[in-house]
Amino acid sequence: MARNPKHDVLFEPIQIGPKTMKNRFYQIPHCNGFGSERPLSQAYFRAMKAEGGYAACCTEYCSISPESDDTHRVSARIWDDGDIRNLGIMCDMLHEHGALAACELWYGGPHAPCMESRCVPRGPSQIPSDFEYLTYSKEMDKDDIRDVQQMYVDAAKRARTAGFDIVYVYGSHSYLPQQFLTPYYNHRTDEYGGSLENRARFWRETIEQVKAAVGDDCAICVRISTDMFLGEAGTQLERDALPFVELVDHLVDVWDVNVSGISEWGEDATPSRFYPQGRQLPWQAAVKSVSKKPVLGVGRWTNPDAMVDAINSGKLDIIATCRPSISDPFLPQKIDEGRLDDIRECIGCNICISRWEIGGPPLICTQNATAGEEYRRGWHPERFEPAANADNDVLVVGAGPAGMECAMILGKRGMRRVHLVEAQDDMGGIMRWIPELPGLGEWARVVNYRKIQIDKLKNVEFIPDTRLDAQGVKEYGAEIVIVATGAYWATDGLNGATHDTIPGADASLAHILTPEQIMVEGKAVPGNRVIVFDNDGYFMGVSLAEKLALEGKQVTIMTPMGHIAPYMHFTLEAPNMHRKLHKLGVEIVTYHMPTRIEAGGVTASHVYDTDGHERSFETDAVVLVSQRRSNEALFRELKDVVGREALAEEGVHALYRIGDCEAPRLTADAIFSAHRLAREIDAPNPEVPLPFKRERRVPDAGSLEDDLRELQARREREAVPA
Amino acid sequence: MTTDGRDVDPDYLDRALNEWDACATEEAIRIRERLGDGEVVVVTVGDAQAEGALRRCLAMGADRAVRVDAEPLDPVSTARALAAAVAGESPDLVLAGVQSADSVQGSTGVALAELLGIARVAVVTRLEWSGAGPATVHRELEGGLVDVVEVDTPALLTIQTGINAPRYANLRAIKQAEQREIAVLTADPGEPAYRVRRMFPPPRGAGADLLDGSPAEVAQRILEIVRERLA
Repeated sequence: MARNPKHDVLFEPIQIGPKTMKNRFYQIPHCNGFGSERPLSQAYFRAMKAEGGYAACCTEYCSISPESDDTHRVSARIWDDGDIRNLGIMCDMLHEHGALAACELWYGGPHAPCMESRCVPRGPSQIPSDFEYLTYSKEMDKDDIRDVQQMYVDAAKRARTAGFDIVYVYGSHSYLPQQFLTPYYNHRTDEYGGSLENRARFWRETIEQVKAAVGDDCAICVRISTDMFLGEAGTQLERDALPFVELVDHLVDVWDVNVSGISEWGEDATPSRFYPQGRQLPWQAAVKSVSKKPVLGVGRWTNPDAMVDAINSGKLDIIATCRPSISDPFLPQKIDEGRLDDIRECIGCNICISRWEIGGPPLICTQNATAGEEYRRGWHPERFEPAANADNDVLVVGAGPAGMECAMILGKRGMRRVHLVEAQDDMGGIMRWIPELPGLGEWARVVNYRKIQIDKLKNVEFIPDTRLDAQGVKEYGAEIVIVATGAYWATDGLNGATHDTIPGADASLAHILTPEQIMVEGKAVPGNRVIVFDNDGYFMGVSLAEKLALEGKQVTIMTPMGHIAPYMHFTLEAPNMHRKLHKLGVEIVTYHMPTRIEAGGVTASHVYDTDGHERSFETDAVVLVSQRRSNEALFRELKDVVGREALAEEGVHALYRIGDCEAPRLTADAIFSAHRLAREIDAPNPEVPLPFKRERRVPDAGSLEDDLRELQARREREAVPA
Repeated sequence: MTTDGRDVDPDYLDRALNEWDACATEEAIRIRERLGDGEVVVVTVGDAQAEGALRRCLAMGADRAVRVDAEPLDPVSTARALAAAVAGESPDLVLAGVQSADSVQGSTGVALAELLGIARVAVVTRLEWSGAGPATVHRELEGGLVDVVEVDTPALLTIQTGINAPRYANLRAIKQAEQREIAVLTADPGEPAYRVRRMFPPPRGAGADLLDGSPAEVAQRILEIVRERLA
């Protein structure tokens, strides 16, 4: 198919300093957990987006010095020749696809805890980090300023050597250059503090020096947060950001414009729960109005019409994407080919970001199970090997996220016939009703994308309104049976804190409810006062609390945890979720475990209480968000009662289970497990994942060998004679 | 489109049993199941590729399938191709879909009834029949009206979607249907009553107006537009 001419502007080349981007698609800096120390995972991950049509791809934040060590979180690093070699692989692979490579030079100041390097970071003033506790910087004197600026220059030269085409002097998210610009971080009284000109001095000088060093060869990109939402103390658009842009515009080849600081950077990496696509546009447009240079910016862009509008209305020159490029590395190519219904749109859940916030693990994506698996598992998001056992027919029981994903991938792998059989009248499983929770509408994209794909696959047939029992499965006529029957919320208060039920918890009673009873069955929540008991720790408890509060109930969230919905800190949803609940008057009771539920009230005790104190809470209803349990009855009956032999007699030679039916986890994990099984359906034992490649040092490879020789030499030197 | 601009290029077609035929087949199987007796024979006209639809009917539970090997070009010649094969079965009841999903002519069924010389009722949404004698059927009319008629059998009824929810065939039934014999007959469809001169996607309209403003302003503008057009 051909591109719709109305999207042509997205494919016009654009000059940025000494370089040219072949189109307007740019992968903004974002973390992936690979850094410089998993160089092949890094390179394959970025190169996939270049293959998918991105004109330029950037590293994540890339530390210029051991003084800027973000461990436990994973950044890239360009400290030495080894880093040049490792990141050079990424540059080479991007260039092979005709894409430019960008490096986001980063110095964190007080936010970098330096847990690996043990260095002391330097900052404009000695102010502890607002992002990371127990982390301080030392206040920079003039020598320190010269030293750190030299670090930028040296790192920029190393980046050029590695093959990078675009070099950043990165300030957004409250990092060093922007700390100097911002009174919140800069309390100096010398020529680097006070007036805007003084606060801008460090950043301006640094840009000048980096440009002088590499500006003939590399485009200089400056990433600025135009509003930190910190009131008078923070960077402000009119007072700080726009004058700064005008001050240094002649030095800059391209502006990367966003908003927020670091402690609430969910204002920038916006969860769909709170912000729509293009949320940063007003700020980006403001910079565009004062700058003569191209402006790029994020906005969780997935809709090409909105992208075109941003460019044609003069608000942006380059469409920068982070999460949409993770969800679909082939976003540009699909727009180019007019295949809009093949775009796997980001749902804005921020599960990807949660992994960086947790500190370390490779990123994951709810929509794209192949994200992060490009090198280590060799998965390509758009290419599928024909299965060696494609002459088999497959029955997938349950069309929730996992069942849909598995049927879709098996279809793409060319299995003869795949029947996706569902008890309900449509696909989606839990993702039919979760998007009905407040703010979660975009999560329905999980269903929509897969539904459209499945509809296109001639070898996949969806069969609704059909609840199969073990007999029905056995006699269905499939050689391979995959059970994807999901999970349900415990009805008796069973929970991961006490590993027991809660006395009196029984969702068959009118005043005790589960999430499904409220959202699917329409069970009425009696009375006015509701306690939501949450020991799940993610979105379900707080979402139901918000929903019920919006309906006028007087809601209390009770949890044995120290925070409500602690996982939402990792997805950057926590601050605004707290604001919403606070505004709605939702009471929050942490560190409390219900000991008894009765009609009219809940008795609870503090989890650290050792003296038998109990508190009584009056309530008309209790919602149990305690834990989920797998719907495994069908699988167990097939495996344990019918048995593999009887199944084999009917021609069923393989039985698997996937998703929440195996263990109730994140939707991203459920989809991954389904995708993994489908990718490995022709492996010797598909039940057990094939090993993945690990980037580690082993004794037959390079420098470790040298280290071992040195160790042996030292042992011989220091050996005590017998 | 094909190079002569008269049809859709068959390479781009994905063949499937159309939903009216699925409902007709389902209705026939239900009659047989209800009576505990009888035979459901599915008949189509076309080349070997048309057998996929017959096999799907067999997988649903039809007893036999017949393909008339001919390539008629319009509904009337389709009916001519079918007539002898259908008459040869001496059916007590002939069910056809109201229309096909591709041509959407809605005439093959009634033309076939004419050729067979039997009564016909079109657009049937409910069917009651004891297996002999007259059948009571509901016809769908415009404006939600229902016409309840009694028709002597043998008769031909064209079946509307919604009369039932066609059953799905499981993999075993689909596999078994693949092994079944399909009788192939020949027939002369004769000359078509019409021929296609040109087939083309409708030209794009002049475009759409995008209304800016507050919801109230947009609503006001829509109201004005509707009033302008009504006047």
